Amino acid sequence: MRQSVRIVSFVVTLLLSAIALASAQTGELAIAVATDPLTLDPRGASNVISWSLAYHIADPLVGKDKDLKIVPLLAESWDRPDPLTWRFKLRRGVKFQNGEDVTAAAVKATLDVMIDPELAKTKKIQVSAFIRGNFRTVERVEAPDPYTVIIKTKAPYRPMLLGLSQLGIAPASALDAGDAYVAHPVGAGPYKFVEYVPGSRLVLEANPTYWGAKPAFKRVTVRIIPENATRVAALQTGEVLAIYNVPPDSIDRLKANKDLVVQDTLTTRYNYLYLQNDRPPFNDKRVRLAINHALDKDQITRVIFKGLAKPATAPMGPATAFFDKSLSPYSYDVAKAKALLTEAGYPNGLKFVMGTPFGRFINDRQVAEAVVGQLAKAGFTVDLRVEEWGTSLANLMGRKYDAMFGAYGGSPDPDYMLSWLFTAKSSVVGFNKPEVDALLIEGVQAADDAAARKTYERIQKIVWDDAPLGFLYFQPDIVAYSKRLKGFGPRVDEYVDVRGARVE
Amino acid sequence: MSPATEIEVAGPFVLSEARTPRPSVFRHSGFLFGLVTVSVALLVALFPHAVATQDPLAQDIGNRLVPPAWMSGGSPQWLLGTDHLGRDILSRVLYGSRVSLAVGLWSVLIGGPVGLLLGLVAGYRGGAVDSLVMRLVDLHLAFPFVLLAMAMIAILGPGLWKMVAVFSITSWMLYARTVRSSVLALREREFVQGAWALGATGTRIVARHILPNVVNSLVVLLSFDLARIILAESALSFLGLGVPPPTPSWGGMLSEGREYIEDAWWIAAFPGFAIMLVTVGVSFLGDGLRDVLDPRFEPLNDRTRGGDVGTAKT
Amino acid sequence: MRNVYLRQIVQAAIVLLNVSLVVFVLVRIVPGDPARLMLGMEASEDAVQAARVQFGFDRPLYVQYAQFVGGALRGDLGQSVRFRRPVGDLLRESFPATLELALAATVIALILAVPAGIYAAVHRDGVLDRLLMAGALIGQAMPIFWLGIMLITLFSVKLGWLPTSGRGSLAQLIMPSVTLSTYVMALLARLTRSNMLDVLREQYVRTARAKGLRETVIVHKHALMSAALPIVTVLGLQVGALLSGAVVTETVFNWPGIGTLALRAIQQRDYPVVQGVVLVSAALFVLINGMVDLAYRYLDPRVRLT
Repeated sequence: MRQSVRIVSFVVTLLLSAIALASAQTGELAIAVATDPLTLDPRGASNVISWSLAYHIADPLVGKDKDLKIVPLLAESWDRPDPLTWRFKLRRGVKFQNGEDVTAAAVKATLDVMIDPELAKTKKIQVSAFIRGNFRTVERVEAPDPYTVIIKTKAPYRPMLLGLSQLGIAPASALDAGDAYVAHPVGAGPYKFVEYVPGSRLVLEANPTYWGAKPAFKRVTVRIIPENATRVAALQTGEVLAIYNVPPDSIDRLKANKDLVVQDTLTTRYNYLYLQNDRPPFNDKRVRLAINHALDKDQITRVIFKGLAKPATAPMGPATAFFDKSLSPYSYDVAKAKALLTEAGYPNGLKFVMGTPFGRFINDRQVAEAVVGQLAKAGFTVDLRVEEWGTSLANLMGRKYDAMFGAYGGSPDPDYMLSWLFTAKSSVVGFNKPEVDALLIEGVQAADDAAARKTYERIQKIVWDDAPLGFLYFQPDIVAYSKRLKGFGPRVDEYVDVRGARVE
Repeated sequence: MSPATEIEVAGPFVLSEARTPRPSVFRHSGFLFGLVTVSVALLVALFPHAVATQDPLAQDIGNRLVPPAWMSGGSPQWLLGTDHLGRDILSRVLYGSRVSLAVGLWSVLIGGPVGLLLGLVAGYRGGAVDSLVMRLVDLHLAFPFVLLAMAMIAILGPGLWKMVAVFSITSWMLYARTVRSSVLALREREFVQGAWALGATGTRIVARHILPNVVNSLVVLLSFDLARIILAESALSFLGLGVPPPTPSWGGMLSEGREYIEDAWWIAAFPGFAIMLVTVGVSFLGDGLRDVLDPRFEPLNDRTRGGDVGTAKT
Repeated sequence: MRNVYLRQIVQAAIVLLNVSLVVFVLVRIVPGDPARLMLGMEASEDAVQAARVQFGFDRPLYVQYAQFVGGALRGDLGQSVRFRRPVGDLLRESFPATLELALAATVIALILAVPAGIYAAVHRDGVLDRLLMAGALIGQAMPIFWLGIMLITLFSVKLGWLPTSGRGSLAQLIMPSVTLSTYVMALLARLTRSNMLDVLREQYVRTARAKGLRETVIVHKHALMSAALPIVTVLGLQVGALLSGAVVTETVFNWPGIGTLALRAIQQRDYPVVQGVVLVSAALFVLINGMVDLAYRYLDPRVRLT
């Protein structure tokens, strides 16, 4: 009996592989991600998944290769005639997927929406808060001729290219198209938008008129599978050729499969607990320090992440430029945490509410639950609210809970990593240190790398010592894929990227 | 009321065997099984600390995903293994019974009397109350129950008592309708007519002649509905709309265990067994109760339309 | 007969109106500003005010209700907050998936349950009868999401025969529809058996003079027809169970139907979608109930004459 089961099993697996192979040879690629992109509009993309998928549809002016070096895309060349001016020469003869020409007018229209909140409101365009931050120093955008774009900033801004690499360019007509464009985004990228079923899949097809390297696949299906086990199973059965957000518990099993490759890399992302610095109880630094000493980061990285994550030692991931290697993690010291709490006036412990998303970051809910258990040992009673990503994001921006489990990453630019949380104006944790505000400005204006390094290291040290967050760990990007998939791998900026992939 | 709706009324488990003389051994063993299962479940729910070896909330991350004791890598310390946070599965399953049974029993204990009262009034008095009750009953038929429960929980927020409220509110109509049918049937019976002729007041008639008969069939219905509610509660918990973590609930454990189904199947398997066991036990109990209390409860055999004939077999 | 139809339609309309009222009230008893609740904490005050005007939250409640009902009658169920698309569109996209699943589940249930029930009735108290009925009891008691998970573990993960989730191929339909069919299948099996037993007994008494196999065959045929009627009506009513089951089944198998839509809408506080789903489901129920009722009246000769 068992023999026949095995034979049937083998035959069926063979058949399924044949089917998968056949679809690969007909030029189709299926991959699975864990998080819903929520939107494919390059201007509104609010997480790495969405702006990296939008990146396949809409080329930005410049891109980042897998070593995060800037490469020209829609902009053929550029220069910086003075510290306040960036000048881009656009590639000629490039068309958007709807036939419109890629001209400076389109670039200007896309950028104007990012820099002018009034314009965005009038045109009913929802703009990503994170990407918008990249352009906060931009004063205006000029299009003196159809192939030249000039960006003038109010103050020198070093990371302009990195910022631009996150923003796909939309056609000029998108400005007035409102929701119609959001429902069917169009750009000048290698793949065209076909359909997006929220929570289910995104389908792209090759853009035959793409100016660059011919897209390797006729059709790309990005399946959205938030459940870890289902996503892993989809890879094992060959339904998809690659998956992101591989749960560490499944790695051994996947590695045992000779047809699969598992790779990981530390990224620009770090995970932490948001703590509301400007209201009780976390406005008291002692309480924040208590939290940091009560967190057993080692247990999380070693046991839950199987050693692939590392305890955080800075308010940004190690792949970020000018990462300060000299800092050390807060020691795990429950006694000290309790002492600090008592000193702060909570001898019998402290209760607070913490939110967490699930399915957004690897093992997010699990880590949040583990954190609740760890904090309990130090006298913290945590009321945990688990929410799906969209709601969680909204509550994060609305600063609803005392604390929240979260993470930040997606760009090697230290300004991108630090300014959103630690600029008093935009901080969702109420962080307010004029010194840091000033240093951040200095950082983007720094004349050279050496000066920038000095500034950013100072910022990191100040932030680290102030403990505005409950620092946890650096998150790895773990992917698993079929051996037949080439030109694919995890990226340090966590982008979902199949632009360079091909199947053999 | 169409006979088809009678089936809906009586719930899934009431398929009458009463006309078929059942071999007594089978009936007794089923009832016995049900009685034992439900009693054990109740005891466990009331005194979980007596049986559970560990604190169901205590995390032990160093010992996460330990298999059950009889498998390699298992340990007698955690008879059914541990979950992804190192919590003892057996203890969590035992404590989880509290949520399922509490929600089920309270819903039935609250919805039952409400349904009884309104059904009595509607059936005996008729009139405005009757129309209102029937309108609400139709409404109940119209609503996709799970969706309604989901929507209500989403709006009111999760929590044990909110679930009890949702289930009571959506169930009492079912009970009221059954009671009403019984009352309508009994109202025309000779002994009731006789009492009326002798000058007994309405309340007395209801209390002495109608109520006892009606209560029996209601109790049977409630016991079957308890099973349905337990299943529904676990479904809601599974969907994340039940009692919030870290309180252990069977549906919630199933949802968590889904993640680890390949590496740690035990996290999902045992709560699932528990749900099935209790549900089957409760329905066997209902079967037995029906045989004892109301052997004439045969909704399926009433094929005449008109509805007012009621559920009791004449 | 026409009076009956008319009365049914009027009753149905009243019920639907009531449903819409309940749904409307439900969504509005949420504490807090509905516009802000919909847009989330991060939205600007201007956006919230715009939404307030757009959705009519600034109008008195009865006006809002009238707007809601009027819109619904025209097919306009409002706009999803999360997806910024008409609710009607989302429903239209998700509905076929659920329909496919429900139909497949029903077909499977019928094909397996009816013969099983008949066999059990004919061989009453035999070993297979006991086994089948025990199985049916368990089938009705089993949480179907558990069954679904177990099926995935066995057939996808361990054996690799079937895909784990999603919708598109026939292979992807198998496990979800089998899972969903469980409850109805169990119910139908027991029902068929019960009905067959009743009918058989009646016919049996009348044809006590067993004239041979031919008689038995006729008996069985007649028995089957009489037993079929309640099955049809029950099926119609099990739409409720099917839809409830569909919600969890769709979740387990990532099936993009109404259940998934409703669950996500609830998780995302997308109230217009929740409203729309509940209203449309209720309308569907009322429709099916009405049809089943009428069909029953028509088909059952005893009733037709009443």
